[in-house]
Amino acid sequence: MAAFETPPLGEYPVIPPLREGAMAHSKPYVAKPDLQKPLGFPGELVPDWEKVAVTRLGQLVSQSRALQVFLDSCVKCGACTDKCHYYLGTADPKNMPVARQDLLRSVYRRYYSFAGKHFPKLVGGAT
Amino acid sequence: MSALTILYALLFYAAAAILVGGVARKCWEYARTPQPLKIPIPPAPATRGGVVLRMLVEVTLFRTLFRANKWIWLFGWLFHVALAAVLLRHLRYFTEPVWAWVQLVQPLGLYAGFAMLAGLAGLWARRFLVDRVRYISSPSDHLMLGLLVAIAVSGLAMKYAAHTDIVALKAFFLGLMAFDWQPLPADPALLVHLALVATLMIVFPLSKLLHAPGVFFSPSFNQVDDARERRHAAGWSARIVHVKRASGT
Repeated sequence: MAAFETPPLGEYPVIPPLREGAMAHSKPYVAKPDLQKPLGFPGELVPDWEKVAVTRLGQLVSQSRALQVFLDSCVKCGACTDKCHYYLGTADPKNMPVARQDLLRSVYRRYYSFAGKHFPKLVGGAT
Repeated sequence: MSALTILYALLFYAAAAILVGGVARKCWEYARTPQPLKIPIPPAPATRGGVVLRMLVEVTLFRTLFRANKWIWLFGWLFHVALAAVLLRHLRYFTEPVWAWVQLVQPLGLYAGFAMLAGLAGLWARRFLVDRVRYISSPSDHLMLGLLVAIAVSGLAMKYAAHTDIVALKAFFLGLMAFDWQPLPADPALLVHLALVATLMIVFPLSKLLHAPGVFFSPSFNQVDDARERRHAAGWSARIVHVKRASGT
């Protein structure tokens, strides 16, 4: 059992200052291959999984107007940064909604937008 | 015809083409992409008319942003409203004779120039001062604000410091629109201002500035909340075979 620092809950929510890497030790709990097979997942990472993931992202975007519009038009104003209870609890900036979506968005920009294809450093495109 | 005039004429034709063509292409892409599920943010209107009203309030008053964060709303709304007034003021360079209401807007647009700068300064300050916003800011976010600030400053500079020949400038733009090119006055402030505006027009359809057309296509704002009354199906949700409920109700 890991030791948790639980912020006290007062009358008004307190927005914690960033603690980068606060959740760095936390890894996903991957289900066993024999549980994943019946669900149609390969169980293990396929050899060229990066390419497969990028292709799949393109499919998902072309099938959802919400995804398409939101990936294009987030202006990073910061209004959502203090809303997620995971961020309020852990203070890890990666738990801010905008930072979470930016994981996906940086890949989208890098492979599916003009700015990301040609100026990845400028707009934050990741491979 | 000076080389400068030709350069700027071509620049503005290209910028206008990229702006209009790029935004039209994006809108076409958004309109064509299906939205398989209903996802209006509650409380959501249950009628089409309600959705129109909601969208109107959203794009004029930024209601959800107001509920989310008062500081960002204050600076963001100030900037957008001021920008609208400034753009209306600039209509006088593109219409002959100048429409009566555009003449009325002139003094308003002047104050708006300063209001716009104030809004931008507030938004930019947040990118430095608020640790959360600093964390999410990429170079392009700063450049975008810098571009807009530079446009506002160079514009105000022409009003208050180094006047330019606006009669000749108007002739230049009217000439552009009629494909009858007229010489452009070669004042540094004007050239900087125009080059930056052309840059903004070119960057618009390639960047987060797409939030302007995007908000109208946002399913969380433009959908009617009637998923229980009417079966919604689009894209993959339309291909799902509808299974009737087996219960006796």
